Amino acid sequence: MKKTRIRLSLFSLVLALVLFGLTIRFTGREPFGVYWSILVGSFGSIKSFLNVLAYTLPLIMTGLGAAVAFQSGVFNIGGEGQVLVGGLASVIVGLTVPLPAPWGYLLALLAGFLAGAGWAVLPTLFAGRNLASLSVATIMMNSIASLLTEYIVKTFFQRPGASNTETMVVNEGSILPRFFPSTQFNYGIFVALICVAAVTWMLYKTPFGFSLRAMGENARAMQQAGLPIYRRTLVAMFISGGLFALGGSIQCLAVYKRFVMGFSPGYGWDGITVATLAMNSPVGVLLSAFLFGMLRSASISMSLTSQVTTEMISVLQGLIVMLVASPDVWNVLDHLLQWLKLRIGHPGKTKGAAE
Amino acid sequence: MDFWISFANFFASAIRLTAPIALGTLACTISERAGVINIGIEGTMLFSGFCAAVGTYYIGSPWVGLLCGCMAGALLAVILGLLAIYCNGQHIVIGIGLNLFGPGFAYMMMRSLWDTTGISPWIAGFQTLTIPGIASIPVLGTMLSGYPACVYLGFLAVAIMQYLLKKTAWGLRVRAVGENPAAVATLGINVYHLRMQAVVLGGVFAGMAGAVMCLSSANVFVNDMSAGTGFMAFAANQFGQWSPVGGYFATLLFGVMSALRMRLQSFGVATQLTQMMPYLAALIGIKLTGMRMRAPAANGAPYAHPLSMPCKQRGK
Repeated sequence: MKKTRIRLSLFSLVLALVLFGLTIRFTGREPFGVYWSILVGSFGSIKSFLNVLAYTLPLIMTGLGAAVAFQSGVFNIGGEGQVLVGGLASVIVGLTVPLPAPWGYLLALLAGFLAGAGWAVLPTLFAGRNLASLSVATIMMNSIASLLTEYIVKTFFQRPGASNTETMVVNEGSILPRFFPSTQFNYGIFVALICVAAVTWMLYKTPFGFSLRAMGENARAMQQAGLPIYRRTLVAMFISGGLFALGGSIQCLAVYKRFVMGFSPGYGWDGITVATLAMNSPVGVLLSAFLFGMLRSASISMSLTSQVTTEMISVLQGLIVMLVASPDVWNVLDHLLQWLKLRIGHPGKTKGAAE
Repeated sequence: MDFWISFANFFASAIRLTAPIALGTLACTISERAGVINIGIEGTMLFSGFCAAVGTYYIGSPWVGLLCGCMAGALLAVILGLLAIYCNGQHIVIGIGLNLFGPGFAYMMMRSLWDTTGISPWIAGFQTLTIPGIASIPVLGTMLSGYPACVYLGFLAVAIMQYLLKKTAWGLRVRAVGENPAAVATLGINVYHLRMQAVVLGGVFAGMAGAVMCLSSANVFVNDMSAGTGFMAFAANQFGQWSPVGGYFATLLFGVMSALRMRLQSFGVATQLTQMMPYLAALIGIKLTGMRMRAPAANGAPYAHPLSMPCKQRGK
C-alpha cells in the first residue's frame, strides 16, 4: 500500500512536470531550457545549493504543520496567517528581551511557536471540527493576521526612515546564526530536523499520535470509541499551527533579522503543497520541501533574467498539488486508454492510432 | 431627507461592492449543493478576470469579455470536476491548487501578452445602466438604478438559480446528490455527470464574478485584485445556509461592512482595523450559524459507486 502511494505520488509529479512543460511552451518559452536552468541554479555551485537548502527550511516547517493537521483529519489551511503571526511574535520577543545567544533565539522561537499555535486554536474554537466551517474560519484568520501584523508593526515597531513596513533589527542574541555569512543557510536546519524527528516519533510511536491518526482516518468511529474528538482537534491544531509559525520565525530571525511586511511569498500555502506531495509523511516532507525549495530559489535567483518567474512556480505547484491530491488520475487515464483502444480497434498501437 | 439620500448612496455602494462576491457565493452554493467543495473561487476569479480583460481588450466589447470570463471559469471548474469527482481527489486541496494555478497562469500570460507584471492596459468596461422611469424618483432611483449592466445580471442569476435549485427536477437531483449520492444512483442517475454539471455551472458563475470584478468599476486587471473576495464568497455561502437567496443576503452583509469601512476611514480609524471588519463578521457569523448549520451531508466526500464507476477500483 505504502509503495503504491509513493509510486502514485511520483507519477503525478512527472505528469505535472509534463503538463507544466506544455504550459510554458504555450506562453512561448523553451521548457527544457527552464528545467535545465532550475537544475543548474540549484546544483551549479555549493553556494547556490546552500541557498536552496535555506529556502527549504521554512517549507519543511510549514509542510510538517500541514502534515500533522491532515493526518489528524483537520483542515488547517490558515497556515499563511500562522506564519505571519509566528514571525511577528518571534521578532517582538527578539526586540524586547535582551538575552545571550542560545537563549535569545530559543526564547524567540518558543514565542513564535506559541503565537502560531494560539492563532490556529482560535478559529477552531469558533468553527469546531466541521470541514467546511473550519476551512472558512482559518482562511478568515489569514486575512486578519496579515492586517493585524501590519497594524502592529506600523503603530508600535515601525523602523523610522524605512520606506516599507518593517521593524528594527532584533537583538544580537536573538539572531538565528548562519553557517556561512555569504549564504542564507542557517541554524534553522537543526530546528527543522528536530521537529521532523519529534513529529515522526509523536505520530508513529506514541498512543497519542496513534489516536490523532485514527481520528484522521475515521473520526466518527473514534468518537464512538470514546475519544474526546473536540479536544484532540484543538491539540492537533495547536501543534500544526505552532509548526507553521516556526517556519515564519526561522525566516524572520535568520534571513531578514527583522519583520518585513510581506516576507512570506505564501509559505503557508506552500506547506499544504509540500505535505500533499509527501503524502503527509513527516520524512517525506523533507524531500518534497527540498523540491519546492529548489523551485522557490530558482524563481527568486533567476527572476532577474526572467528565465523562471514566480508565477511559473505557482503554476507548477498548482499542477502538482492538484494531481497528487487525486489518487485515481492514473486509473482514469488507464480507463481512457482502454476506451480509446476499444474505440479504434488497434490494440497495442494506441499512440499511432490516436493521431 | 438628507439622511435618506446618504442612506441611498450607502446602499448603492454596498450593492456595487457586493456584485462580484454574490456571484462567487452563487458558484460555491451550486457546487456545494452537489457535494463538491470549491475553495478555488479566489483563483478562478483572478483567472477569469484576466480572461475577461483579454477578451474586452482585443475585441472591444465588455460582453465578449464577460463571455470569455465565464468560459475561463468553466474551464477551471472542469479541471476541479475531473479531479475531484472522477478521480476521487480531496476537494479542498484541489481548490488550493486552483488558487495557485489560476492566477499564476494569468500572470504568466499577462507577461507574454502585454509584457507587464502588475497591471493591464485600460479596458472599456460596462456602462452604467439608467432605468428610465425609476431613475427620476429621488431616493429609490439611487438605490435601484444606475448600476453597470452586469450587476443586474447578478440579480437575475441569483433568482434563476433559486428557481432552478428549488423548483425543477434537475435542482432536486442536484440537492439530493449532495445529501445522499447512493440514493440518487439507485434511481439510475449518473452521480458523476450530475455533479460535473453542477460544478461547471458554478464555474461559469465564478467566471462571471471575475469578469464583473474587472469590468464593472475598475476597468483594468490588476494583480491580486480580488484580495480575498473568493474566500469571502466561500464564507458567505455558509452564512446563507447553502441557498442562493440566503447567500445573496449574506454577501450583502459583507458589502455593507465594506461600505461602512470606507465611511469609518474618514473618521480616522486605522485602515487595517477597518479592513478587518468583514473577516471578523465572518468569524462571528460562523460561530452563530454553527449551532444550527445544515451542510449538505455528502459535502466534500468522494463518491464511488460500484456500477457507475468510470474507473477501476482503487488499489488494484
